[in-house]
Amino acid sequence: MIYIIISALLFVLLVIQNILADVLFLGRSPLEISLIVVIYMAFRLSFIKGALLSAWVGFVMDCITGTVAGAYVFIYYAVFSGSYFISRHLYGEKDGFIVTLVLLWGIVEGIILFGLKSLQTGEFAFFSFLPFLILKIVPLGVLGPFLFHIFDKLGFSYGFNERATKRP
Amino acid sequence: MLNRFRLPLFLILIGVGLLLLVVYNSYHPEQTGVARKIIMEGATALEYVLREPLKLARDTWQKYVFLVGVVEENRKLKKDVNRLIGQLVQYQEAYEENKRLRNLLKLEEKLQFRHIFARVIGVDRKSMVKSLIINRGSLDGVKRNAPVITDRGLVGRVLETSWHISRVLLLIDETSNVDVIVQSSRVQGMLQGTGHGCSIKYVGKMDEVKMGDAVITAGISRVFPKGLLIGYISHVDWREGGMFKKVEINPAVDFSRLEEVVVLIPPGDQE
Repeated sequence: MIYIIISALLFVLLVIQNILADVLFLGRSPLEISLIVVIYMAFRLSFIKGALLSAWVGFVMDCITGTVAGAYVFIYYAVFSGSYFISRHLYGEKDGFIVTLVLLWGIVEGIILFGLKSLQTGEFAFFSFLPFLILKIVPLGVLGPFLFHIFDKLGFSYGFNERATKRP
Repeated sequence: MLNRFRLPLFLILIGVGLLLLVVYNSYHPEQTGVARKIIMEGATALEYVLREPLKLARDTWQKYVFLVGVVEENRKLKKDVNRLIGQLVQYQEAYEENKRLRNLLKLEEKLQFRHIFARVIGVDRKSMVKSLIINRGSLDGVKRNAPVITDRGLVGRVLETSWHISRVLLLIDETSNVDVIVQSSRVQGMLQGTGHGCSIKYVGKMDEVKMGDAVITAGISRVFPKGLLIGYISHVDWREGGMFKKVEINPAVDFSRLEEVVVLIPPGDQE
């Protein structure tokens, strides 16, 4: 039941992030809080639940942004799996580590989206894409640690932090 | 040994499967699925509800910010002024809407296609797909790939439809391609979005194009009817040794100010 509520809350979050982007950046840059949520889930949830929720977030993103069906599902699945893999081998939750991880996945996501766009248009204009990428990942890097702390507080309060408590 | 790599292999297999699905979908855009329609409709409705308080706060701020701090004895006069300003804004809004609708009606007389009037209820120029949402969907007769225009010119085409709303791909999106003609010289080319404007591809170095020339749809691909205004040439560049000229277009439509549009029903779908 709690995961159905989380899915609904994630849906609301995606709509709100779209509005926030318009208010804060005057519609010139996306504010993809959902990417931070997916990375966070990789550190806190079990694989199956986290992967399913990531796929759900990706699916909603596909619908809201009008991207090719499955694009964000794939990206968020890749981000989740990668972060999950990292979280199993590295124990680091300092702000710098989170910023690095968010920036890294932001760049990976940007490159995948750019690749898909290039595939559709048949053109490879990476330098015109670069400002879009920077505008997209810098706010995420700044927000990453802050949101991790907020999610932690919310998560522990409602008891769906499945993995953090098992850490050494 | 095999057990150790079972999980990574499993993850990679799922990832590759998803990637293949995405690549397939990008080459074979099918009709919008039911689940996607439900999410689209739900998100649009929720966004509309959430945006209303913001809009109200902004309007209130804009109307009253300059009146804060006025002395007590002017309060009554201020009330009257506010009431009159409110009325004036309403009248002005009605007048502006009337003007826009008149222009659309004039356009209606000129159109030879069946068409549907629609309101713009969302604009998204920050994502990878530059699009807008209109308040007409498949139940109103909107079809995928239908051209969308205003009295000023071409806006784009319908990318996907839900029951009550549709997503329109803007001309400026990089995946948007339109066959065009430069009106004065009849030079043909392929117009493609650049993200913030448009440019024409495949204009030969000998072709005559100059700044300010109007660019209209060629009507070759059967998606867009012939003769719709797209914009005006804003820049022409040719590098020594190049086969083609670089021609940039300033769209006739201001995509940030769209409120009402007309969706044309493609000739094959007319009753």
